Amino acid sequence: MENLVAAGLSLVTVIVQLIQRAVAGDQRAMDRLRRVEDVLIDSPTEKAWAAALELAKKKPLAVPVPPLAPPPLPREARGPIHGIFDDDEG
Amino acid sequence: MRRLLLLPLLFVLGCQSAWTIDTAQVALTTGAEVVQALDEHVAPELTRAAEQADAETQTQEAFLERMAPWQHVVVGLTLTRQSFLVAQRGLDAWRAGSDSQWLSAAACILAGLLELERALPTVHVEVPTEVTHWLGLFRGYAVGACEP
Repeated sequence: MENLVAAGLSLVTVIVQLIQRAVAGDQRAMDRLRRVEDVLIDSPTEKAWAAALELAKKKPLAVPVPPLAPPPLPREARGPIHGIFDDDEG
Repeated sequence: MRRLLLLPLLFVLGCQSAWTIDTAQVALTTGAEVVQALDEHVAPELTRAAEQADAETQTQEAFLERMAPWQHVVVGLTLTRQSFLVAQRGLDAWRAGSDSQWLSAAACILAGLLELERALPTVHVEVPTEVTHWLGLFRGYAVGACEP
């Protein structure tokens, strides 16, 4: 009697496994027939490109040029020249 | 692996114009899976390249010049994705009785894949074998030029 119950249980287990495989096979077949829009949900590459463009926007259009040195003062504003001729003139 | 086994079969069917709507749907769906996988593979590479370009360039112009090859990849991927979506609508039309849209959509898929085949090596990303297989498939099937 116990053997019969065990055999019955084994048979049920095998049948359940067969049903599970059939269902999984059907699922795979259904997966192959999915519509394109269900596969191409979003594009990580397009998002990465958008992020790259944001990086570009933060950059200056041209390399910043360091400020120029102030122009030399006019000759009169610089005062007398102190040199070898100063004594002659005085 | 399943996709690779499926492709030669689809190729033969496509060349013999013996497509059924279900076979065409399998071809489209499987192709879209390849494109999605490629998209997910390319995205982190692009991000890395952008971060490197950001660190190594000073101006917007230099940055964009450095990223120009990636722009071709993005264009190729976008075109391919859109072509698959259009092809799905073409297939819907076929179900409703007309297969002309489906046939012309294949030309756009081919154009997108060709752009990708050209652009990927310029950014040192290997063209996946599956993309090459799909190029063979749609070369045999595309009709006319892509007119998006």
